[in-house]
Amino acid sequence: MNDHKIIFTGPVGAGKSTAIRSLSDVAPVSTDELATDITRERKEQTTVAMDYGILKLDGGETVHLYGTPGQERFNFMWDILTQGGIGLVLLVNNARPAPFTDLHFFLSAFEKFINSTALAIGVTQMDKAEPGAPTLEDYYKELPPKYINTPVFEVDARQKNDVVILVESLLFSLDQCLEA
Amino acid sequence: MNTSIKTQHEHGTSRESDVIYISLKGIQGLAKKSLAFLFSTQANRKYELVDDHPDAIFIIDFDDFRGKAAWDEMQSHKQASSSKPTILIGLDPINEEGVVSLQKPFRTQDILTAIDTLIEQREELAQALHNRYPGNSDVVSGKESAQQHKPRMSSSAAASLNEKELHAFIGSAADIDLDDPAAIAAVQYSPERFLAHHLGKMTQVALKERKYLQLGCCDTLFIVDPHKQCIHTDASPRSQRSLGALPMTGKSPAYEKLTKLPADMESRQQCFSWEAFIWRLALAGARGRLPEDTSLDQRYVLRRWPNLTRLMLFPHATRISAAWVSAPLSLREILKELAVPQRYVFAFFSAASATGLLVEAEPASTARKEKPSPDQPSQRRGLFRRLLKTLYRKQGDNRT
Repeated sequence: MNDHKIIFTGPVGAGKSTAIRSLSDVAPVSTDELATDITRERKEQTTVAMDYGILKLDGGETVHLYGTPGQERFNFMWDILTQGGIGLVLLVNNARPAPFTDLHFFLSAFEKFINSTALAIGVTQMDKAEPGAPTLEDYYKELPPKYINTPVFEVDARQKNDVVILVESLLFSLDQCLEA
Repeated sequence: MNTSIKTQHEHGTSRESDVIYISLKGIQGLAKKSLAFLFSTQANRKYELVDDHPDAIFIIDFDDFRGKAAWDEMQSHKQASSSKPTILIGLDPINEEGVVSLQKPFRTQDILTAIDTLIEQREELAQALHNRYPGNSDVVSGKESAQQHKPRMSSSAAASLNEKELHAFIGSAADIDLDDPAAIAAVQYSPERFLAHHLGKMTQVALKERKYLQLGCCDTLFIVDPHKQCIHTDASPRSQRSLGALPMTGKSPAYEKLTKLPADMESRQQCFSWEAFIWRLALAGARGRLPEDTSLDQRYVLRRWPNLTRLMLFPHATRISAAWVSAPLSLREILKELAVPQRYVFAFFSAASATGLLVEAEPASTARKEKPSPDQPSQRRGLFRRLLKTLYRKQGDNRT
């Protein structure tokens, strides 16, 4: 049986682990540990390897949900992780000091994968961002022209519905003729 | 014993008319505490738990002997479902006519929606009575209106509630012949007569001039805030559908420009995202219809995806978004391509146009992205369909 997978990526504290937990049909395997470096200033725990969850489809088929490690020293895993993936869900923490830098970093890092699949962007922590923080319109303005059709939504990773809509939009971006 | 929960009203006021009285029958201990906690966390509502009250909404646990006894007593006193708004909850499906029933386990949102539905039905009846007997204020009392109130909810409450909301916002019109001018005219409406249209126009002016714009309409004040991209208003979320659905009479409302936000409005801190607010009002006004004079052959395109996670979502909205963001399409083309009931596309068209997201495509524009044609289905379409089905199930909606 084929191994299908959806990749969740984004900077530290963007909500990758939480999003996978919201969506997974089984208790996700998480490798969160106490943060020991600069990450600690943002969150107590961080993912040092990867998060993993499962979506069970009718007929026994499964779709694997992988969250990339939050720390950049694990970047070498990203190419391996994305092989055969359905698409990329990029979560960006709007409360970080430079969310657009994060956005461009991940778009660049996963460019090859996005070009052959599709991308959906969830902007998290919009309610906690400082006044003057980017709006969704600002994100669209910031996207390179080739990503102009990308869905960009405000997302609370704890809300299953938000994550579901994000993944749905990813699928419809791949195939608009799709219907369940 | 009366248990009173005083939640913080959104404006910090305590208007008696805003209190929603809830009477729990056969619900004790942890279940009662859980419900009390749920009600206390609803920032935009003020609930009060009471033993009895003329305006109370009853929530009865059918699995508890005390709840069953309370229900039997209500029926024996001829005060059953036809006279008191009631929600019955139970492990097994409940087939009692004229009540809302929820089968355990249900989501917390289900019970809040059930309460809203009963309130809305009572208000609609009260309004109808008020219109019929304008001089008689008594007819709008909860007690009297409740006596004539006959909810038509089935045991599959969650699905019924969704259907009710769909009916309220999308309508239930059947597809029409797109080559029949009379049929097309029958599904068109005049957006200028509805609030969403005016607020939508105001957002464009506010953004351009970076000024606050104030509109007084329908006994409610709206201030469009270009800095936060939101709309300050006293209107409660519960009254927004009515505000959107009621056609405005008289001449077109005029707005005024403000140099700064009034202090009292700023202190209330109730500002709705203008995209979500106008989207909701536009759906309520359009009810699955098209703005008049809309050409079926003019191509339109979405400037960007609507922020679907924060909007009133209805069946096919994600799919329609994907199609209209990918390529300029006319209404005729998108209906043919997606083959979904017309009312969903018309509703989307109205809401996306009112929010300024859907715009006429440039004549010379071409498809922005290569799409798989129906003759060459995506190789992974089977997988995507199964995945989509799983996601819909998780979403818990009743898409068609």
